[in-house]
Amino acid sequence: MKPAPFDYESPATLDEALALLDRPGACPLAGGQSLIPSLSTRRMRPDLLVDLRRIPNLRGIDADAHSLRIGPLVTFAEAAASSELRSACPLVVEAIRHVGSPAIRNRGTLAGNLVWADPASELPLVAVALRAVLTLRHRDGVREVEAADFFLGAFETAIRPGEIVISIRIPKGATGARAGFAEVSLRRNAPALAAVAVQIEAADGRVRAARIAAGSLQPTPMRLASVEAALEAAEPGTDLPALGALAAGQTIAGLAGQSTAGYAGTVLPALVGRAIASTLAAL
Amino acid sequence: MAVGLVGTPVRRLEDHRLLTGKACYVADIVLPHMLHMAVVRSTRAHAEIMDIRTAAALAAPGVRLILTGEDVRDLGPLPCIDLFPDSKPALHRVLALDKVRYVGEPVAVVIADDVYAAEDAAELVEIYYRDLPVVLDLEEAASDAPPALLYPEFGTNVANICRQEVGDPDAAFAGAAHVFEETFRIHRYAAAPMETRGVVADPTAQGGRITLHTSTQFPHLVRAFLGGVLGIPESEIRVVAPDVGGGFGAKCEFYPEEVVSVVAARRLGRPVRWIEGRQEHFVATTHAREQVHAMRAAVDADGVVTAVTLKSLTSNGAAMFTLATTPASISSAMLRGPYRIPNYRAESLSVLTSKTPLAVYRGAGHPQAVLCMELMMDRIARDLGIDRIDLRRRNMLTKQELPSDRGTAIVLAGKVVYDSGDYPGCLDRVLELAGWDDRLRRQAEARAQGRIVGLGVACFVEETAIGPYETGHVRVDGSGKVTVLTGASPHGQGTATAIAQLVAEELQIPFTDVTVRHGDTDVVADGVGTFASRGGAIAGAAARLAAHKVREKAVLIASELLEAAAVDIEWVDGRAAIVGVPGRSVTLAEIARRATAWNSLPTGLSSFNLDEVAHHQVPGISFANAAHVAEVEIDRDTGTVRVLDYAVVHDSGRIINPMIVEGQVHGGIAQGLGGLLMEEIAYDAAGRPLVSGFQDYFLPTSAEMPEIRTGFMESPTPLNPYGMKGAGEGGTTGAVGAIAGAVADALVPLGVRVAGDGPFTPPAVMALLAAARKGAGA
Repeated sequence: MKPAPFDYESPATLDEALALLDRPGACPLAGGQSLIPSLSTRRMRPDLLVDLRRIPNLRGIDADAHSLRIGPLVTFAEAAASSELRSACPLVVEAIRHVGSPAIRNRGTLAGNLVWADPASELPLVAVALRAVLTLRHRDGVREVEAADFFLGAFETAIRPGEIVISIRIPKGATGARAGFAEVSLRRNAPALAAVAVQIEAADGRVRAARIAAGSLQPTPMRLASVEAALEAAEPGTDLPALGALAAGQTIAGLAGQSTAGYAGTVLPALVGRAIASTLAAL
Repeated sequence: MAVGLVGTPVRRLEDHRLLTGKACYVADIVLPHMLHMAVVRSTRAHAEIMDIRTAAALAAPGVRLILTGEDVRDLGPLPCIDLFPDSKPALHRVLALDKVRYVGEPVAVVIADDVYAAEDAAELVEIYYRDLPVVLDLEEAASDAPPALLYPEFGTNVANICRQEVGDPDAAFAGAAHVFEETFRIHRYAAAPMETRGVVADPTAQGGRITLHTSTQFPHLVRAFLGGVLGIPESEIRVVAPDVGGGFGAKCEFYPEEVVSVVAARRLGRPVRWIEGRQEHFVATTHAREQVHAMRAAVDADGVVTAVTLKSLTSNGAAMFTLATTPASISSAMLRGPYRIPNYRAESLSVLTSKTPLAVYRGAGHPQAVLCMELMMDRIARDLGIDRIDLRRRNMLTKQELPSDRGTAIVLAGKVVYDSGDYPGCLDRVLELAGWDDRLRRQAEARAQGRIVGLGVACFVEETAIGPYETGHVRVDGSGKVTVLTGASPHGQGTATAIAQLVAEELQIPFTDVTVRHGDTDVVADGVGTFASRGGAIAGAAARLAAHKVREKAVLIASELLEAAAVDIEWVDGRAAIVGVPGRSVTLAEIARRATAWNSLPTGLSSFNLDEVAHHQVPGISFANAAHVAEVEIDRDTGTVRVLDYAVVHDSGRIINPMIVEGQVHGGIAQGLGGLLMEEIAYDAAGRPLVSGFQDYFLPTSAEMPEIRTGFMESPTPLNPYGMKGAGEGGTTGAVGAIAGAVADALVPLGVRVAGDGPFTPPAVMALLAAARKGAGA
């Protein structure tokens, strides 16, 4: 199938892009790995595509003392190859192993993936787990939105017409942070039926910081705060995967009335245990 | 020196071109002044068409023509070639008229200057529907009180009943020590070839002839069907199957786009192209498999199965396509597989439902039959406390019992008479290859550790290499090189390589000196096509018979050139030589040049040219067999099924190229695995399919495949001059049985009884486990 008619612009500056994006029916194009198929099936019918590829300074990963900033045109492949991400935010790298195929990872961008907000995709739960902050630019200004507030529903975010993500800021984990990602899908690199993302910083046998979120449980990624708290309170020598699974089970039980959990709810405690176990194995 | 002779695993001649992007598929064909077609498809599963308004679409930029059902109402429906005498001919129209019966049914076509304009205008065609009740559930559809009749004129949704009757099943059941009953369900999925369908219809050839480039498995049949529907002689039609990117049966059907594109092209006097989209493919190309089998087995005190009865339903969708009754016919004729079971009765209904038409897909009805029979065997063994292998051996036909007239018949193909094979020997070999006893021991250990591990075994016999005939034309030109024209229409199988090997062996030349051409009805005068595991065996035999005639003629010509009697000439390394006289020989090229039209007719010959045609008439079906063993592990926490290990021993008679056969078996196993573990085309209550493309229909990848250990046996068939049977489908057939058996076996200790009901996705398996826990707690 072929897309419905649309106009295309490839501006050279961010200001120009923001002006174009302010037009009704405008839609930004980054890696295109979700957008282009949706154009072809005519599920999406923007009037204007604003291609961001020529705009300078939208690429690259920068670090300061406290955080890493990922530019909106950084691809999955670039992020996976980043030694800074690998040491300070290893969960990002771990999650990307489950994203698409190499061809998709070569073109797809992290920012685009977050904005698409597919409940079955991996990066949104990583962003929520790691307390990422998204910087959104509009021609009229800038605002920052925490990942937990960014996702509003399936394929639905806090981004407003005319806005684009211009950076994803992720707080750095302590040196030696380790990550685990557990996912069930129909086959390798198919969308997640259930997924859990874990990043742990540990010292002297204690968990100093635990970052845990679950996907597919509800339309938006869910931070498992009670599991994080349980791990952080655990005495040295505790069986952390079992503790995490137990705490996750209690969280699910609390959700039961919402009847949204379904399959993901059934398997979540086990996945939490596995993700924690694989994190510890890496420690 | 002749290399690449029969039995040698040479690399395929086709591959370099295919793997370096030099293939030419229908979508690669670009003709001058070509127009583009978009198909407007029904969005309703069952509705009356109240009105179609095309004015807005006709006024859209670039639009040249719009056709609706009214415009082609005089054209006959698409033929179904496997109807029974008392079938209800629920045939598919070229474009819907008055009614639509499934989501995706073609209602109109828009032809425009480019594909974008065509698709834009297609959205402007307004169709007004009045919804009718949909018929989705098979049992409901076949009942006396269905929610609706898809074709009220027939008074039933049952389009066909295929019956098989062998011996006296009633007496066997009356005298049975044990009776087992089970209802098996196989879900709907599809072949999903990498290349979707597509056509380029070109009306501009000399003399107004039509050329139809189409992604098909049987161009000669398309030519005949197209001539029939349009009412024009076949001589006015050329059908070309260029490179075809997989078919698996889904392109062994004649489709409405192959007609309507030609109608439009002739009307406009310009070529018309249509390439099926992937989303479109899942509603517009035939689906497969969906059946329900109610099966009963009578067993004596010793575990001998004395009788089986079957009542099966096939969800044929909204019309009978080209090969519509074949799935029901094959599964009913072949259910008993390698097992003796002397008394048998089957009643297999082809049932109309509000879904995309269903037809053949790799294995046709065999995978369903094997799943039912092997799950039933396992259940009998379990309930009677007999070892499952031992039970199979007790019931299995021995080598000495062949040939064996099974008393059943397959539509189009004929009587089921098992010709050759060693079924118990094949089972023994696969158990050895799999390390069965060791695996049983390790399964027990794994179970003791709380792991869910299952072993499945599937033995089957399979119809292959059906007739009625195939053609081969072998020509040696003055270069000494050989051109073969074959009536087969391979689309990925490697048949050209296999044919080259057969011809090269006959003429004792390098197989790379043989060029095989196919798929163009103007190049190959007559042919049948590639389906039902027939290409290598049947087309291969025809080509080799023609090569043999060429060699006989070459010896006669050589006898003149060498001034020696034909009896004194031997054929060595592609040359004719005088026996016992070293150095006195002529090459194939010299012989071919002697026979050209600018020489005198060689002495003793009645025709010029080293050029012979042969038909291989198939005297009966040859039956391949195999035994598969699969080991699976189910993740208790997530329901994920992983195939850990796989062993297969396959017997398809004499092997031309072991590497090709192994590839066919492995590819088949991948498709069996995918169908059973992840592929499904489900429908919502309104009859809308829940699959929209490869973003929600997942095919297996190498990551899901186990290591496969493969063994071969070669039981030649007397029905083929070179002993060859077909090898294309057995991998799929066996994998469905073995993996289903392994999943069922894995779940036995948990009290879960598996009777089909795939695909075994993680959520589906978790639901089975939850239901078992509930059952145990109650």
